[in-house]
Amino acid sequence: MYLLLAVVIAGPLIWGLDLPILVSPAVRGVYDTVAKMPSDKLAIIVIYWGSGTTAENQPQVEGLMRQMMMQGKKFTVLAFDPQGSQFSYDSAKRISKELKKTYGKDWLHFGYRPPANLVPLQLSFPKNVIGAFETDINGTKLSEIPAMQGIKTIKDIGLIADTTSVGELDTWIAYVYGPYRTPIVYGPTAVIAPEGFNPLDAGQIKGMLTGMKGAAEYEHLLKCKGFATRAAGSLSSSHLLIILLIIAGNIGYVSSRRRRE
Amino acid sequence: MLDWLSNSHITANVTIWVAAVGTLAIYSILYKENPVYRMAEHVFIGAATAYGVFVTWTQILKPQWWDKITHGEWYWMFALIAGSMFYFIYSKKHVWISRIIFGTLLGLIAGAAFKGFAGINIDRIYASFKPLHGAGMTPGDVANNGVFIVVLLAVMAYFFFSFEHRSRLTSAPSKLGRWFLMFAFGAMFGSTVMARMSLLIGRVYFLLHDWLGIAH
Repeated sequence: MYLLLAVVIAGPLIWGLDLPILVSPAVRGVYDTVAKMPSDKLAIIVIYWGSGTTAENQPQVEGLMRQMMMQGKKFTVLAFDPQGSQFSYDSAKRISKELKKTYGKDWLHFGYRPPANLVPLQLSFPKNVIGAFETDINGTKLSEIPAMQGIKTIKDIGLIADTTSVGELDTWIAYVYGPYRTPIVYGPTAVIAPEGFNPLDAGQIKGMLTGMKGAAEYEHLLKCKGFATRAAGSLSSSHLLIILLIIAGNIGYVSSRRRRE
Repeated sequence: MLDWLSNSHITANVTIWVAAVGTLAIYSILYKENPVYRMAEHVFIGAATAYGVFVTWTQILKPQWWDKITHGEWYWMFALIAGSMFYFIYSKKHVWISRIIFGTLLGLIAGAAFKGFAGINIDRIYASFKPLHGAGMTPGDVANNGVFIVVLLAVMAYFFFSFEHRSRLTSAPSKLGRWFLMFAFGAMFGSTVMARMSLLIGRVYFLLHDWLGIAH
């Protein structure tokens, strides 16, 4: 069975299976929110994932970085996972090289912060961004980085893009969106995506990229054929296999029960 | 002797080979429990932990704590004292020292949680009051909001435990609520399956594209 699954996944990756990609309102919400962000403000892309979920979270982050760089929006990356910090730094360096953007001017990376610091940072940075984060990933003081000039309080932060494999979205809503109404977009893995529908419906988040599927839709909007788009065919074919196996399993169960009776 | 390490092409190839062998070693558990899997698992955990320690020192402790102390801001030493107090939990005689810092921390967390409650829930409660008629509403909006209200009330009826659901008036919405919950759990489980497939596709893509070079 594992071999069958491997074949079903590998086939579309080797030979290609381009199925139509329909963009959901939640994904369009992410795109529109990024597009509407004033260019003099700074977006914070939050990384709360590591090597285990790169297949889902990395295409989301790369899509966000690509849109922000293409549309001239400044952003920084704030990582709460040491591996995610390096993955996101590598992604940003690669995309900025491709789009001819400069570190420190068009984007920067705050580096890694321990997860235990999440809430203290959420409580402190709205009043003093530079004082709360102090240095970037290279140990350079934030006050010396051109992209941070004029960025003082939460009023200068235009967007929080939370990409995560754990359910810490509520803390961003509680301590940042609740008191300051800073727009939040959400990039969860598909496992925790159901937790995002309530805040999406309540307007607490402006858009959501559901796992790899959401990333594929986002790439479609950006007209960029990245990993998520290439993998979309495999995702569909693997789902089809699982549906067929569930049907076959239920038919087998019902027929065996009838035989016993 | 180690000149080859400075050749980025060679190191990239070695990295990909190590990652590919590691991936296959981890997936060998699908056949059965085996020493290759165990070895790879321990290497992964060890490497991830060591990397975490390295990054914590280079990006946090050194620039934001150690460098400050060595540049005259001696009062940052108190952070070490406060941090060390946690470890007294292992001493029967001096456990009271750890309680001071745990108590302080719990107080701070409780205060933050109280503050957060309103920020999270008030918007959601407000959003659950959906209109069934109004200017600019399409029949689709009305149907959507109608479904939302029926599901909300039915699920709330299911979680109403103050009295037994004996009459049809109370048991019918409760049963309906249970069905809605089952649909929701099914959808959530479907989302979980999608997540697991995505992760598998990520590794298969790495093997086929980065390692073997046969994926498009």
